[in-house]
Amino acid sequence: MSRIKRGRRIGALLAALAVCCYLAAPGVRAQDDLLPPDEVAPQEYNYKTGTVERTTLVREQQGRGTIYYPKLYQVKNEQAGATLVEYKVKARDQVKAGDVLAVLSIEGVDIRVQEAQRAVERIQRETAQGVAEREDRLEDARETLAESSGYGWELQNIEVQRQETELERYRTQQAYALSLQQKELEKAQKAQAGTELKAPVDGEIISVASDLRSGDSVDAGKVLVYMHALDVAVITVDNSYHTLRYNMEVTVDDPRSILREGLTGRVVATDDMVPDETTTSNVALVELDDLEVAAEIPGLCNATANTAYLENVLMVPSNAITLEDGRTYVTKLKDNMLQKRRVITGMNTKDGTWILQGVSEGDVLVLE
Amino acid sequence: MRNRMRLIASLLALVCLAGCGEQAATAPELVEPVGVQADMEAAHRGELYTLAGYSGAVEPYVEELSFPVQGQVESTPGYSGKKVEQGETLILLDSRAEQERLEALQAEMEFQAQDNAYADSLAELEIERLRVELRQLWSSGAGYTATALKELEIEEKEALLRQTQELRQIALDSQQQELEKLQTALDNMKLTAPFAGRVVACTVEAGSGVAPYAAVAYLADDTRLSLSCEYMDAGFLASAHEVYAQIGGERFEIVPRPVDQEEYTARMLAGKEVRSYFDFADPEAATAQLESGQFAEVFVVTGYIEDALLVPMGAVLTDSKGAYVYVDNNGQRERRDVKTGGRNQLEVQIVEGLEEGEVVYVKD
Repeated sequence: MSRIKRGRRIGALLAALAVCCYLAAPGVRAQDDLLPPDEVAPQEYNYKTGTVERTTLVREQQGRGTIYYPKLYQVKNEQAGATLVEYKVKARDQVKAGDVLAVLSIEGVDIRVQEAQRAVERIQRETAQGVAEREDRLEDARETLAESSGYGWELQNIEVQRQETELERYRTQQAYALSLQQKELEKAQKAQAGTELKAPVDGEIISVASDLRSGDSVDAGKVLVYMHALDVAVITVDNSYHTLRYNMEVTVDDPRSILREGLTGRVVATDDMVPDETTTSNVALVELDDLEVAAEIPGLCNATANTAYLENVLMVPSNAITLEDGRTYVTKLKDNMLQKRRVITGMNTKDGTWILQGVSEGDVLVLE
Repeated sequence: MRNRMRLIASLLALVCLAGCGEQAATAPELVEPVGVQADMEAAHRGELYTLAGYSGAVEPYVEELSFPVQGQVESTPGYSGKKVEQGETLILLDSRAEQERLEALQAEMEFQAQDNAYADSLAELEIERLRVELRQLWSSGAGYTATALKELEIEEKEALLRQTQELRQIALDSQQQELEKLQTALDNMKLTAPFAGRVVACTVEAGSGVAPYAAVAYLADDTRLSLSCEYMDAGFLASAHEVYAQIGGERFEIVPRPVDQEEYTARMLAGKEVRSYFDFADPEAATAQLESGQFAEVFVVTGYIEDALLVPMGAVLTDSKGAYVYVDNNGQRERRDVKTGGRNQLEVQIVEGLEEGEVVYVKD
């Protein structure tokens, strides 16, 4: 009885296995429709092909740009003994030439001016007095001369000439001394005026020296305000890949399409033009052909340039190239013959691959 | 019953095994395109060479500008990117102290000249007075001693005047020298454009300090063009059959610029980019046709053989007997031993064993 049961079980198992195998064998069911009859039928060839063409190679590069004002100014304190009273501006403020940017107080500057003024007045008084004395003496000498004769007249005449010369010399000496003292006064007055640091040009404040607060002493030569003029603007474009070159033509547009399309410009400076030690900012400056429009440029814009441009070169579709063991090949289709040939490639562009050697214009290549 | 069960099981097993094997057996082979022949090519005559391309660009002449003196930048009228004329001021150093000293010295010299003239007049008047006294002594019949003493006094005053004038001249010369130095210093504190061009970099701004002979600006001259590209070894260049550049659609002849080995080594050791530089064989034509910034491809042709019998690289096989090809002889492959010459990465020159037009098989 148990043998019979075991035999049935084995039989059922084998039957189930057979059904499973049948179901898992799609080839059996799909045998007839694996390839449609028309595709099985012979044909000359069934490859996708492309043709080698002589054309223009263009490679574009796009970079993000921002507006930049290249005329920079530093406004600094020139006076010793200065103390910051207050800043009158902050970053991004726009100012006119002559606007007060910061106010300083300078120790003893008023006393210096007063002393210099007194010295000038003293020289003027001394001069007036000295001239008067000498003129009196000269007058006396001339009177004596008028009364003299012979040998005495000769000597007195010389004395008159001497006193005339002395008078003129005194005037010259005093005028010189006065001019020196007036210069001192001008310096003191300038120092007094230096308590107000003013904008040298119309422009925008970049930053103020944040390490200084009201009441802090300010060293002579310390820069308090950094600013730039607004009359010249260029676009500074990221050039980390060093693809933008001096004098290249550039097209500028902005992501929000605020600008009219097709603004053109030229690269006027790049870091690559100077030794590596000088700068590391990796930017290129682009000057727009229409200088007036620069002010309209929003915060960010895109700058596009043709970093490579060659006319009349052999280009092939990039999917015609195969790579094996680091070597590049194409497969030519010539007179119904497939010819796998090595090629020397140049650069790739979005339009295809440049071939330096290995193909000729009109060659038909198998793609992919 | 048992036998029947066994029979059914055996039949099912057979069906099952038959089903499993059917999958591999029934998948058809992909059909080779009909009419596509084996890869063959006729031996042909042509130029054999290796062409290498190096990307580069047309560049302007760039001059590094510096001050011969140290100082602090007052202003930078020649900011980065500005187009300037020859002689235009690019950077001014703070020269207020020198200007002040110059003006003071000029005023002092002017005053001194006037004061000296007055002093000379007074000294001459004194001498004139002594001469009048001498004449009086002579006319009054004074003795020899009195007149001799007066004459001596006159001579002494004249000598003193000459000495004073000489000393003044020495002082004046010294002031003049200082004046000239100051003038030179002031000239040195103004950086002007040595030629018309564009400021491609101004590395200082108002308030910056500068050291003597440290570069502060770079000026580009777009009328003097050259070419630079990715670095290529000088030995490789020397071995080239031909070096030229393609710019746009035109070909330009170029001449490699000698490499400064010291600079090259220094840059290599510092891990900096090294480039190769070329001058145009006809600079005037280049200036007329080209402009800075244009893309250029420098081509180097090496291993050039003018009229070679060529077959594809894959056609030449080698074994212990040497190089050979398979020639198509009326549809039959025929081994032919050959002697090869030059080669590039694409083709091989056959110098013996093959005739022009003979068709050879090319290995995949």
